[in-house]
Amino acid sequence: MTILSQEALTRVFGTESVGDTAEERAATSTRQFVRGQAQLSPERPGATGPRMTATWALKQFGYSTLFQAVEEGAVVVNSSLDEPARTLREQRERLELTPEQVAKASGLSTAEIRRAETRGTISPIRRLQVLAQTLGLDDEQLSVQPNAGADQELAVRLRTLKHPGQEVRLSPSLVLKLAEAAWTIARQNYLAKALANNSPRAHQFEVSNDYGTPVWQRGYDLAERARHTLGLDPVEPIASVRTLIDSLSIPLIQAEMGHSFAGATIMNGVQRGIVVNTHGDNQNVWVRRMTLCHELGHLLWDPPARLLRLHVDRYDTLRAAETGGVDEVEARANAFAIALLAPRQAVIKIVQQGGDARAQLAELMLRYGIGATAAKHHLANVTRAWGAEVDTSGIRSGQLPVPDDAWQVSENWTADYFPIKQVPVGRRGRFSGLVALAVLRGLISSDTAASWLRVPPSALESQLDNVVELTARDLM
Amino acid sequence: MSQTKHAFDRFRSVYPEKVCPPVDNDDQRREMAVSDGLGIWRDSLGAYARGAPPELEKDHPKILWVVRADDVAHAPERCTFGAKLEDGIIKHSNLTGGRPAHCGGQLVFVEESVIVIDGGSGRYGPRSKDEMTAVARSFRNTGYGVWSYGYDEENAWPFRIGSRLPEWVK
Repeated sequence: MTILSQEALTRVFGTESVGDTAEERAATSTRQFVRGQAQLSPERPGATGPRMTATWALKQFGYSTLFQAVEEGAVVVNSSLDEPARTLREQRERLELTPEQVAKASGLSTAEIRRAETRGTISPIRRLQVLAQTLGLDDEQLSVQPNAGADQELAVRLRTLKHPGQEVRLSPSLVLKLAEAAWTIARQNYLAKALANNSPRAHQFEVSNDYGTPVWQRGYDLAERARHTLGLDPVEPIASVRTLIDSLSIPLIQAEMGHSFAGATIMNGVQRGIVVNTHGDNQNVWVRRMTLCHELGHLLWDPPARLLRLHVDRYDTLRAAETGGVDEVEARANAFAIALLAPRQAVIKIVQQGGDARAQLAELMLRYGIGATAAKHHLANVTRAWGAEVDTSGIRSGQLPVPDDAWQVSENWTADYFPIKQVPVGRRGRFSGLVALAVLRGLISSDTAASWLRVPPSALESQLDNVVELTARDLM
Repeated sequence: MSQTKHAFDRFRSVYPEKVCPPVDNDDQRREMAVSDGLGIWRDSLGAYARGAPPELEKDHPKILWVVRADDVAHAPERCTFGAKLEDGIIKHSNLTGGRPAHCGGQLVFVEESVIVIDGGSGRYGPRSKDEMTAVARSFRNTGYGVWSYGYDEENAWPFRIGSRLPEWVK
């Protein structure tokens, strides 16, 4: 019997499986595999490790490993005795974090962290996977691949931003949130590709090195170009920035980032995504729309060398960007953001309709879903360039509208409501939809999905359809 | 009575024989004889010190062992006899001729009187943590210092050489 013979394929994937290749057989197999820290085996009663679908096991370990597992009862999958201890410890040290800090973020104990980092010892694989996700490592490849897919440059960047003297200074807690967001982004990108839902639309954008004076003009031009490329009406409002970002297959992760930081862009070639703070000024949905568009401006247009793998924006930077008191990268991103939300022509049209400055400002805010500060500056800037500046300086915030529930629902989405309460906010949204879809399509098991959504499998199984309906209906 | 007979008779009384599953080719059932390099386990005569856990990688050369009805047989996985077989190596079924056996696995001599063992036999390997512990202790009771890889509850299968650091059998 040769390893790729029909007999061998049947032995690995079962008599019900059909096809000539391992992939075809796996896709039609009802067999599962189970893994621990160091070994992979066919599923069997009494095994306490998480189950994997045949398809997922094939993708992660390859056919010859599955064959060996079936032939010998189990196969050793760790690449060496050093793993996963070395990878976990090195990544933690690369991020300059203590075991106590990692324990707090992951929900594990310090003793469990130390054990996981001790060479040659065994920890439950589910615990190791939580740890890997927290540190931004590939949890499925932990033990199997040295470094487990660690983005070392991102880790170095996160570490650098912890140091004093940095314009943006990250706390250990925030470093960990961003490391975990990087994991979520990478996993979401993987799932989107595996489920063939990777929209080509995002790849239509080429970076722009043009930060010429006036840089706000560059931002406005890029906004017009973006609307055109995306097939958006030149002047119609964008009902939901979140939906727009989803349609570009760009992962959008919500996270609690304290009260100083607005958001972040993570960019590493294929692995790119946006992290938005659910706390602070972003609690105003109109402010959050600006933050999202600002990060989108970085992600779509800034050359990778400018972003250095990770770009974190503070609220005060975004506010300053509205008056031009920041560097060209921030100024361009901010100009892009406001003009994407409220195109120049739309602003001029509102002014041409008449009314006093307050009414025009209110119309701009209500129609285009932008906050007062951003709207004031935008109205003044556009009309100044047009030749008839509208003076908004005397208008008080109390005279201006606030977002209504419709905006909240449109942008808050699964932050407010999600069928499975235990799923952390950062794992909801489109990510959860792709995970649920992956289960329904047989790509991954509910065990695997439960690990990624941080819930017990029992909490997930009855809600898969609801999760897809809420977060990924357009992908069905 | 030798320590070996005593230790493994006790093991056999608790853990019955397992039937050998179907083999892939006739060579896997060809039985090794002592003249082919088959070893029969004997009591250790030497003293030993515990030392540090041996650090063996998964591809370390191994000796297959099997608890047969009347003795414990062993032979290197890669040997002259095995080289002539279709697979190029021996299987546990070559130590039994395809007949039932009580238990099987792999071992490595760390020193003359110290071994490290696992339950790595798809055909005859231990089916529970208790069985793995019992067979490891049986080897210890033959006078050897024994490191054991133990039992992987997540896979419901013994840990194999290279999967972790073994533990000293007390």
